[in-house]
Amino acid sequence: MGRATTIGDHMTRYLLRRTVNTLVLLLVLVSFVFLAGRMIGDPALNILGLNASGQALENFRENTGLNDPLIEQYGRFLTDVISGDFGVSYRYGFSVLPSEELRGAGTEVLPLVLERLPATFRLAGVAIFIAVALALGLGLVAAMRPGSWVDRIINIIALAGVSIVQFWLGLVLIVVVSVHLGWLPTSGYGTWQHVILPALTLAARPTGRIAQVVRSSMLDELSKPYVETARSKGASTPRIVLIHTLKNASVPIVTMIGDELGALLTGAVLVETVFAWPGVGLLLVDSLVRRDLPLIQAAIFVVATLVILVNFAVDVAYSFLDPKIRLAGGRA
Amino acid sequence: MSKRLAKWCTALAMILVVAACGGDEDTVTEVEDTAATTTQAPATAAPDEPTTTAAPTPDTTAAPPAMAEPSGTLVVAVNQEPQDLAAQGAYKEINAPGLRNVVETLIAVDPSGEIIPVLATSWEWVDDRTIRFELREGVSFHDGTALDAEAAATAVNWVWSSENAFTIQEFAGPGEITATATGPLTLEITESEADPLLEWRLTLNGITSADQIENDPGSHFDTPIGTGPYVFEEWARGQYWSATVNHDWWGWTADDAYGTTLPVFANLQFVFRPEDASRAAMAQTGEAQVAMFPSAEECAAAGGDYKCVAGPSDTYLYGRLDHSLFADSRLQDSRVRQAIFESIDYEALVDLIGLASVPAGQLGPEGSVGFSSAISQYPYDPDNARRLLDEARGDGVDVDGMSIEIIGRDTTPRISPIVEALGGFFTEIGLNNTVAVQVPDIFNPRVRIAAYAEEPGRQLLQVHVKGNPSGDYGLTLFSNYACPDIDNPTGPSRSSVFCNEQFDADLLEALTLTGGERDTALSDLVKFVHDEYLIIPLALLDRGYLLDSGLNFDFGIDHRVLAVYISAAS
Repeated sequence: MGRATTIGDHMTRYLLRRTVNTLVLLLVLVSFVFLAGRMIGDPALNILGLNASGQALENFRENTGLNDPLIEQYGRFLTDVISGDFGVSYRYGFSVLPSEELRGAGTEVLPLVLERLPATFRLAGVAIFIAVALALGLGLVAAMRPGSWVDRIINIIALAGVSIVQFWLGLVLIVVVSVHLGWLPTSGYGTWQHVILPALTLAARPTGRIAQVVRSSMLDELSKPYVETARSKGASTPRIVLIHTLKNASVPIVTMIGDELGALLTGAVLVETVFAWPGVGLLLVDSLVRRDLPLIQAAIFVVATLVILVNFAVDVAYSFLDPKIRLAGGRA
Repeated sequence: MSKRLAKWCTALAMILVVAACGGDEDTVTEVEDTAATTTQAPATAAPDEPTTTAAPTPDTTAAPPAMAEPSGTLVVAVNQEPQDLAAQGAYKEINAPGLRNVVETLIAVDPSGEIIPVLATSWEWVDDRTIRFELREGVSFHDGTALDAEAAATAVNWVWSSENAFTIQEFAGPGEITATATGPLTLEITESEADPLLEWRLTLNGITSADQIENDPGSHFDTPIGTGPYVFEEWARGQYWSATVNHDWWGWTADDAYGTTLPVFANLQFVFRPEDASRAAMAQTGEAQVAMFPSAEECAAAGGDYKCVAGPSDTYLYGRLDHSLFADSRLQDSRVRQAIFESIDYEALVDLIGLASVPAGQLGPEGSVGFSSAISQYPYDPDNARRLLDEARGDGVDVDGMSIEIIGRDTTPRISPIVEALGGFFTEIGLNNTVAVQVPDIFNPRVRIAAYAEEPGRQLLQVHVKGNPSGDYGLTLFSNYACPDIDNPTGPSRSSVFCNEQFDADLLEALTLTGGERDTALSDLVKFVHDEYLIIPLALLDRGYLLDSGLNFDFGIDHRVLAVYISAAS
């Protein structure tokens, strides 16, 4: 009973600390987004363009609160964010200058972002599925034949996956698979065929990283005495790998998968643009091109929050998988 | 955890910064200030007598157009998703590519540059600020309501309303545009100030359902209800918008319907592909029949099932070389300026840019009002350039002490090799120079009078892109050559290099004219500024399309993607 209470206390403290960390990070991130949005140029000039008159620029600044002191704008921004209000899009939905009447009926940016989330989740989900399946296969095969030519080839594949530029890989896949072979659509959204190329592109990096971790973790486990004992009892290599060692090697692998899942959400920005995949990434790029500050802020906030939450979930899962961390309150 | 998050935050920051450096066409190109032309125009500017324009008399001997049932889907890969599909967006194709298939105008500019009847069958100037339109009979909006003068007036007033503050206001001209129904099918549109370009401005004015504007204005922004040959069907955000053929379109039976063909496609789909290579790939695989704005390389690679068609646009690349205002005195030596102009290999520059052509010594394509056929592009003559510089040296001009700063804006395509090439040309004739590419926040203010007044004696060549969608040199001349007003740094001549009172007086007079008189007066001024070696016309920028080899596409300088101008290749 006493031990259970201790573990519970440790866990509570651990979760509490992680929650506070997460909230602080969100605050830092939101602040960064706020400041960055004002550092990429004068929002009024960016939106109204070079031809805008001085009066139009002044009206815009007045109507959108850009004339207020920065600290006042920041306070207002934080208050609105806490209530889930990121404001109305400057441009999306209405190609108007700052007319108070029409702006009042403008498009709320947060729903715009949230309606793009399913497409991003779908892409990230398929990508992580492909990455995990490939990485487990490659990592296990490499671990079972360390130093062999198969191991070397897999190492090269994993390194290539980690190093490759996604944007370039996407274009190459379009040219080879769609244009020359004609197997899949070049881009777009709607059918299962549409998700394959962007998911493969997005999966390249996590495949490489996870495969490397699978290989090294498995090699660690395979060198332990209990594996020798199993071998001496006549257990086959596949049985040893799949039944005995994989579970024990899973802690760093699961952590890496969670880590990469978060990275997929940010990596999707470029991939969605190349393949015209209508997710949050494409919306974010579009809003940046249009200098739509409220939409930029909402999109980055949502993506970053997801990344932080995934990270948080991974840390919690990690603590459950590894009792040492649980007992140490996350300090291990 | 903190390391991973720091890494992701960094990634997000990089995305923010990198993407912020990009830009769509609107941010790349500075448009001539269209209000500029008539700000000081006297009230006597417009024609004394009403002039009437009517639809051409139908050729009754011509065979009636084939009435084959439209079939299939025309897929057009466009470079960006519209901000909205409001009627006002129809003023510029880049705002909402394809919208003009749904939303029509009273009059329009056809691919040859002629103003043609659409929803109006005839029109006339009533006085110097008013045009009277007679509307076509029997036209209905896609919601079934009739197009009459009252409905048209509602639509016009909605688009130009200063309260609505639509972005079309940049083309509103010197005053406010309002419309009044004066008969069941008679409409008068008035600009509060005299405006010779009012007719052109009204070619930009999309007309949509008055019923929608009055009773459901919110839907106006995402559900266009026009009168065009296609009826809006669906806008899948982030993916495409689509339309189906309008079997009740007035053009099926009208003798003066615009287009090279009646609608042959049953459906239109405009798919959004921001990445150039994705659009090109769609054309290569046949997923799209039209792909907008390929690169020069993609055009060169075309062949087989698809081809590249390209044509002039309203944008031009120019070198703004400091002159009479605050510039280094050596740059005001005509020999030095001529040497600079003749040091540039314009053909090579155009080859470097790709889809572009050599200008005819002026900042616009042939066919513009005020185009001067009396001049041609400056010669590429480095030997003469060296001779001119030697002559200047001989007269004590410290040519060797000069160092011309060549800068480009980083949102201009291929700007780095362009400024490098210009630097190379100058070096070839012995002119010291530095080259740099600057971000808009640094570059833009230096184009304007308020900033360059603070850099006296500078030797600056700014390489920049501008557009003049009106096809009228009045805008170009006013913007680039009229005396800038130091007290009005955002005024229409804010980036002018030049100040000459006689030129300004002649220009203001020319801007009050219309028709042939305007053309002649402006072309004289174009020749004048050409001979003064003021601004270097570097290239006219083309735009192109990758097109299914089985199709022809007729487009003009405004590059409107209208299905009725896309026909089967014979």
